[in-house]
Amino acid sequence: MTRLRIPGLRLFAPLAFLALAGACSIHLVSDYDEQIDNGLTQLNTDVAVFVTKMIDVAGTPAGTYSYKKNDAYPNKEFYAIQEGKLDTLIVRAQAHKALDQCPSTAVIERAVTAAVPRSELARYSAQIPKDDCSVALLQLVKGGIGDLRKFHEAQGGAGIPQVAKDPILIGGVGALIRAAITVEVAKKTGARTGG
Amino acid sequence: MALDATALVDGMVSAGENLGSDIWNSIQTFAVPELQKIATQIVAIEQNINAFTPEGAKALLDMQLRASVAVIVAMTTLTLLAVQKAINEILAAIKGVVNQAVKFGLIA
Repeated sequence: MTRLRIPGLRLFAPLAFLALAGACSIHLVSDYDEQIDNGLTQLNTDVAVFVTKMIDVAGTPAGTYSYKKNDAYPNKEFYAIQEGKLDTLIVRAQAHKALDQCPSTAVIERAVTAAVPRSELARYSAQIPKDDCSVALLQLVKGGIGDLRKFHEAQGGAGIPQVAKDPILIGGVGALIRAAITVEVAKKTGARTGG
Repeated sequence: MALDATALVDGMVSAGENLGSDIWNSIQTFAVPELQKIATQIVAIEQNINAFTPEGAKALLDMQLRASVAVIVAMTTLTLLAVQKAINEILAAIKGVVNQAVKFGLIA
């Protein structure tokens, strides 16, 4: 018998039989949600604008995490607002989730086994929230905003320097948001991801 | 009417044929370029380490690790989406033949 060679597919084969036995269509990924799509697109714009503005004023009080203006803390508030918006998107994703756990843990273990010591594996796997893939992805995005907040705060008076722009917007948070948007677009267009 | 196994298999195979290319396409066009971008940024952080506080550099690196995990989660989701599409196309392909053979709506 030919074995399925794509690692994750072996996980899905029993689901195919269940679908046939149950005589209905199967649902492995939550449905497209326009509000999640729009929310992620807006988040991408908001983060890019905020990081660019912070870089412009880096090294001045206005560029610090704790900057106070008219009894308010506009830079701190940015993070609170974005995390609040992401919580709402997570609730929407949870409302129509398809699986209780995303099978990425096994994929990640296979992907990083050769590159990192066994003791480090748990650190990678622990990054995946135990939930539906779309919910897990949004929780990772929220975690990335938390990393950006920590970075900004830890930088103290230096703020966000120019050399941090690409690590934040091309790697880091930018890559996190693009990953989530790519999935939403694929849901909308029927699994096509460009190319 | 007896079920024609060859016709069933043909329908299932043609519906499932796109699965491999869909998954490979998502890996080629999305995951590999994204992981390359993240790797480049990890090198950039190391090269500009003096611009960051120790805690700041750690937070920036944690962000890259989280982004790598997210790319893999997204890739898994795209794979699930391709599998879901293929299985549902298989079910749709055999629905008419099976329901006609058993004379009731076995496959809804």
